[in-house]
Amino acid sequence: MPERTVMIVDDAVTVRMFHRQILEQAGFAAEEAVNGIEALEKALGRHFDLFLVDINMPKMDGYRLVAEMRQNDDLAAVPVIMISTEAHAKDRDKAYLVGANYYLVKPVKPEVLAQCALLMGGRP
Amino acid sequence: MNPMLEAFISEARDLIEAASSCFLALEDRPGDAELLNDLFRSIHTIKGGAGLFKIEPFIRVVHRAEDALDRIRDGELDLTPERTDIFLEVLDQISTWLDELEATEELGPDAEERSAALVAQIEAMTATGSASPPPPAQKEQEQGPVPEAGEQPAAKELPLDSSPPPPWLAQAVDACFAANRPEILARSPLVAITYTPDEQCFFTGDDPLLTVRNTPDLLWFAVKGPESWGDVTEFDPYQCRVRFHCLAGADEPALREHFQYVEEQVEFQEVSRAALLQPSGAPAASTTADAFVADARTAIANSDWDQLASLSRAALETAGPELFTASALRRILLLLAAQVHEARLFSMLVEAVAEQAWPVGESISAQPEDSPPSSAGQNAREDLPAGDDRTLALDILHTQDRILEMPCAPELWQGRLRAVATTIQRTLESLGEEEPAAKLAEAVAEAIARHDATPVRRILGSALKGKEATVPLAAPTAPPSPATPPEKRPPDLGQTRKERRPTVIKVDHARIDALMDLAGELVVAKNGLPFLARKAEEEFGLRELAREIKQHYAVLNRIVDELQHTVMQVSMVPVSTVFGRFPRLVRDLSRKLGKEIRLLIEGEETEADKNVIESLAEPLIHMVRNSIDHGIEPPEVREENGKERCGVLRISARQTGDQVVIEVQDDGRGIDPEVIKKKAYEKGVISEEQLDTITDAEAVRLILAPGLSTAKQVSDLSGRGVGMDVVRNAVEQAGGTLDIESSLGQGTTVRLSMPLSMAVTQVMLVEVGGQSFGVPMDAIRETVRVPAEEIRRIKGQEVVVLRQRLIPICRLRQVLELNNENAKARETEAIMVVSVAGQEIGLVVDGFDEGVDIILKPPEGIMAKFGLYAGTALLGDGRVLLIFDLKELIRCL
Repeated sequence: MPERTVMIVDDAVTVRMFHRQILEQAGFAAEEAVNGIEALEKALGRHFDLFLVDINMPKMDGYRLVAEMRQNDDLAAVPVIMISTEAHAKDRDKAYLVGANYYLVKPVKPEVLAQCALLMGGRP
Repeated sequence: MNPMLEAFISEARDLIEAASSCFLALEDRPGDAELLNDLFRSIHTIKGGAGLFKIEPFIRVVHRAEDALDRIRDGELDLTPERTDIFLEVLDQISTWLDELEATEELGPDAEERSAALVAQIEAMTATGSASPPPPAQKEQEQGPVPEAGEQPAAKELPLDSSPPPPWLAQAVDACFAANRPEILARSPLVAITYTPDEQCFFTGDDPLLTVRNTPDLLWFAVKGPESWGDVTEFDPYQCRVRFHCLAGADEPALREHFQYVEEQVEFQEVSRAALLQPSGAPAASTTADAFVADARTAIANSDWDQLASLSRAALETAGPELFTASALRRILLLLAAQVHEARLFSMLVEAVAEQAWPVGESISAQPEDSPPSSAGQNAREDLPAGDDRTLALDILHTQDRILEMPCAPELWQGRLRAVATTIQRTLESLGEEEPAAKLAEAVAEAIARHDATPVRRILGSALKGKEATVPLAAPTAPPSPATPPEKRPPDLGQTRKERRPTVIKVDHARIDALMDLAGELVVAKNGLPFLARKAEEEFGLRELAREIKQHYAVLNRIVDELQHTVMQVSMVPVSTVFGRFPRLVRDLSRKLGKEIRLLIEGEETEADKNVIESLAEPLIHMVRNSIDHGIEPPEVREENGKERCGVLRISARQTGDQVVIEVQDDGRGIDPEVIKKKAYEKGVISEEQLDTITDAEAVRLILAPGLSTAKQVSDLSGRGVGMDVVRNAVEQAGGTLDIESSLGQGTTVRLSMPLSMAVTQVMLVEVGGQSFGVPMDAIRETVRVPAEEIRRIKGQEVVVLRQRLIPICRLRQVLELNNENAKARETEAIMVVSVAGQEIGLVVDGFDEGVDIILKPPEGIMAKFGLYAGTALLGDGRVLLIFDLKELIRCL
């Protein structure tokens, strides 16, 4: 049974570690990237079931990454959970506007992230 | 330590470093957008990481700093030097906290105060700008400790409905909210007790109040008087005419036992948590709570209780306290305070706010107060398995609908639709809704063809319609299972755990040290093989075996060399780890002293052993302070002397051979050799003759001698009366040397030479009185044999002239008091010229031997008293070698 795969995009190693732990426990195989560019480089030509994307990152931020994904035939249909420390409605709306599918506020409760990923990541 | 915390600490330290350098760079290039962005991101990332731990004071400070930076980035505020000062202070505090976290995994006891102080500072500095957002300081409700009899707050509540809630339950909850006693909601079910004592009870030995107060697990009680006390002249104080309302957590049998003597006067009723939550009050006319309801739904879906708390608190401030809305909000907050994180209960309350009514059937009792309910209430709805899951799934679906409603850039439209469709499909599948999920693919194709999302929205709409009614007030199908509240269930566990594939690992330095030591031991052990080979050949005549041993030795030698080199590489760090502090130090000092200084740093990528670098930090800081404090003049003085106002401080590092050379150079006033000479003479460091003969360069070097500080005034920065000899000591302790050059009025250069690594020392073996001793190789300048008659005596000191240099001689036999028998009438003397603290001296020995790599062990126990030796080492043949401490040796002369 092929594992579900998730790409964790965040510039903070602590956060990546935290999210990886949660998602691996939920049965995902996790890949990490420190910014949008690296995420695209790593994701192109491969299959991912889900993206977990931070907003504020150097080089290419989360908004641009998602917008790029939505224009790329391979990645367009991959659901994106945006995750950021900002709790304002305007940040959430902007995330949805560029094509994210759900928005979580950091620090996220492990069980919420896990459930969310299980719901949106599809069946294994 | 928790590996996550460890990672956070190390990451945050890097980010603080990055942020400080951004601040400093911004002083040169104010307003540089990229720097500001980097800076903001560093702080932002620290905040993000900190949020994972329970360190609120820390988070508050970082959060405020981030807000302030955001406003600076947006151009609302300028980054003045004063503001930079505060930011740097914040960074310092964060650093301190990180140290505390590393040591104890928690913040120091004064964290709250410090946090508050810094927050106040940040606020003060940003207050000068445009109106700042109201501080989200959270004032907890703090009132009287234990609720006593006669609670008033809820007495005025108006039961308007035809089926009003039992007023005293609502009163109990409101009283507990006012008194900040969330325990009332922490457990469920509770037992509500209505105790109407007999009017003549005082004469039968009852003490109703005492009985009530001793109720097992009493959570709340109130005393209620009769409707009317009657005519005051008729009043009989010996009649008991009150009634008690109590809520207790104990189970009914225990309570019955407690009240057994007044059983007929007491009524028990089990109440569920849901019953307690029923809000009371007048419904609001307008729908001001809409924004709250929307945000709160999302917060509940995300289980973001903090967010829900702040939303509710904010809404409560604007809601009239008498209103239904306020009552519901108080219950949300009380639930949160009780740490009961059941999404269903919150949803009930939030929906109640939305509808301005409590769902019928949710209350346990609709009877008026005076006819207390008799039967046990229901508590079947306490816990709903997968309730959170469903709530979340529905919120995800709602969100997709909202997304489709939003405008969209044309190039993103199709991709967004596809992603939304995937999300909907998977979420529906997870909910067990196979049918609409199957229809979705078709709808997407249709939508794309028509460039209109309606088909997808239609499917979503019909799928949602089916759910809406059942959630959040989901059907009470499941039996109560209070032992396992849903949020404590681990997420659906997949068993597979992938190996991580790190490219960089962080290793405890102690382990590298251990590895280094072992590699060193191996070097020494390997040295045993040549002895073995010689023994085989000479004692046993096995030449063939000796050759093989030597071959093996050659192989081993190469491998060990490589191993040692690699291990050394592992613990090599760039000097930038130390140099990184200087921009800040220089900035702070120069601002404090009113000097203008340009700092140039060169060669910060030069590497050396971590221990060496660490031992450098203190001396270097001292040197830099010296240069700023005593070296570089104030701008006015510099102008008078025809120099640029701005002084230059250059710190450079480079590698030469197996040494790292670090220079601290300033273009300040330099050191006046005359002043030094005079001072040195006064303090008895040099004699009167030396006063005349000493060269200027030598005079300047005297500043390194103990007890010589030239600062006319002791300043609070560097001139603490210790001077450069402290620096010299520290450097020499780490196996380095220190040199200084200065020309008056032009500036001063202090040069530090440190070994690349401290692990393995090269020594040369010398023979004195039939014993072997080691002399550190890096001190040796040359070895010569000179005819005995060339050694002369000048003023009672034996000297020898080598290449026109006069070198004093020290006969080790005499110093060490070793037997002098066969010392007579040698034709030539073996002299080893060593250089110690810039001074050359010739050591007369009996013979020179080979050079070896050794691990120097500092002398211990009895041996520690003999300053003459720097330590001991084990030789390959098992002998113990004593290594000279040349500085001490020379002092003995």
